[in-house]
Amino acid sequence: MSTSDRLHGKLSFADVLWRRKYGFVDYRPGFFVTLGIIVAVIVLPMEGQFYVYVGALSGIYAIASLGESALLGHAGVVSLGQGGILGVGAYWTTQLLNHGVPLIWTLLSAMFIGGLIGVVIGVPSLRLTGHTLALTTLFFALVVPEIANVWTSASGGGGGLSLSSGLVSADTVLYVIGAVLIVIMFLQIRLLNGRFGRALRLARDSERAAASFGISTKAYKVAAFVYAGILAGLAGGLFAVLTGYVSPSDFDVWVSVYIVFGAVIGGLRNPAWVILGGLFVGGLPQLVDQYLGLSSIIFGVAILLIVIPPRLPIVRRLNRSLVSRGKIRLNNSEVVNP
Amino acid sequence: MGRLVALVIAGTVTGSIYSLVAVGLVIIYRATNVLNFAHGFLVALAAFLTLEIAQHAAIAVAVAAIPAILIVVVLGLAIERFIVRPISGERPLTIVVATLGVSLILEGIITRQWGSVFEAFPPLISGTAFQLSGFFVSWNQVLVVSVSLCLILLLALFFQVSNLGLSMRATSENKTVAKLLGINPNLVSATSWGLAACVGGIAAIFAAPQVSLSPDAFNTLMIQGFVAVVLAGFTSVSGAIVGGYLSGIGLNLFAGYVTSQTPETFLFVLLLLVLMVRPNGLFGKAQHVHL
Repeated sequence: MSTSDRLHGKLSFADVLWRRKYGFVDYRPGFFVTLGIIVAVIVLPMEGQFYVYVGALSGIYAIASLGESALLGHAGVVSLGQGGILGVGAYWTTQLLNHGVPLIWTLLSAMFIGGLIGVVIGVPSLRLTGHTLALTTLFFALVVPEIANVWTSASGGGGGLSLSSGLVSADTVLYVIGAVLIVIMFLQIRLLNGRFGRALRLARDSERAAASFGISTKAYKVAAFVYAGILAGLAGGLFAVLTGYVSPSDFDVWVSVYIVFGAVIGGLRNPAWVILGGLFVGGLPQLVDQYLGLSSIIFGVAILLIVIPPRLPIVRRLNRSLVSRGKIRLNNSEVVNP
Repeated sequence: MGRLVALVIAGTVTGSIYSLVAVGLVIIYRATNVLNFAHGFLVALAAFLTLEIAQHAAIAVAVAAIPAILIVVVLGLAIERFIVRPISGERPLTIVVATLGVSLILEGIITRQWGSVFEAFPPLISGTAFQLSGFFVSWNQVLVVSVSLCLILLLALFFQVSNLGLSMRATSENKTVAKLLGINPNLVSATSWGLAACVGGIAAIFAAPQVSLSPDAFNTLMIQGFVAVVLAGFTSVSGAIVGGYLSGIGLNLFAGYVTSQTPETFLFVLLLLVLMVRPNGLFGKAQHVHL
């Protein structure tokens, strides 16, 4: 929809505003950058297992963050429990592969399990709001490693569970993750720009308006949780295949927190930027650990530097003056509710 | 019977600690609508600093606790002033992410500085106070419970009588009206962070002798505080105290009679049951916050 459409009376100004808020989100910015980075990471000959591992792990976080961004940015609910789903997916995958199930069926079933847990978390979330929901999902993420510690027959207990068959080389995992990321990026753009995404955003902003359009807010909220759960389950499965070993300490609360960080850094709306956010939170701590140590301090400072400065009054004033002088154009195609 | 009494007494002691942590979380939440995820590591700093000061200056732990808590209060005020206040009008999710970032930094500092400390934290006072149906109650346990109760009474007095306490309550009722009445929102916000850090620091020093001194232990302490807060509802300070005692005693009974391996699963199930019946917690009011 261009300005000329508006001038020629095809769309009223109200239509334009409506479409901006609920309709089509402009996903073009960042799209080719992200595509380029993914292709470059896959194609460039990288030296050593470490880089392959870091690349694949960042991709895994990016997949989980994509799901979280649909929840945070479009459904308006928060889940701090995605790490728990990741853990279940990883244990599930390891067990199934050890029992000789082919890889593709294992990963598909891990996605199914993730979606099921999405329903389990999503249904209670219909009654809970805001911080209560955030903390309840956080407790879910705490419970998963604790049960894994106790339920030794399924998880190997505190000692963990190794993958004994169906091993795939880390390079192959990296290729698979890259391909999966590109596919999901396309899918998610289609999904969020289509009927599903529009209904989700309307349900978030006004339950009454959604109901008057025949949209069930509850069904769409649960569907968003299922979508996020499917991606987290897939991420968990890929994690198990990548590392070949899972233990309860791999899935502490920080995994969930990092997934949220990835979505928030990526700006919550545009899958292309969210993928970059996920790659950042998956990769930076590993690289910092390798070269500097102190990864949590540096990562925490990085988070604060990303979150706070753009919101300082002085930066906002500068932005406003740049916009009014036509120097930059702010991308406010989809207004995130305050 | 003796076992039950013992478990309830132990539960009351841990419950006192949980409720102090929970009160800090609620005070900040009511005054600023911020869920402070940095609370656990912030109060943990009080315990580690106390041990450090006590060793270097060769003084009693109880004396060393005073400067340690002061440092933590100053740090809490600094976090409020330089990190939370500049983004106070933002989407709650942004502020949550910022406090999570702070907690990452604090965790890193504690792990780096005291990560290899395996010393036991000495109790503030030693000795057995009395014996109750075959169970020894130590002076330390008596101290923890009585000091907690005194602190809670003081806080209640502060919120009922003092000017500052009343303006904090007014702000949590309605920010705009409070502002129109001439209440300084920045002062309210700063006071809430200072108070929470102080109360939480005391709780951490009480908790330290009972846990192994590691950053994770204090994160668990914060989680228990969160459980108490969600159980009681976010909006009620007195509710948070009840929630703290409930989860403390419940946890000890569960550990004593069923299993001590899955405390968090027990709390999670308890929480889900309560939230299914009362989605805003036992004493909370309905609120509409989009994260």
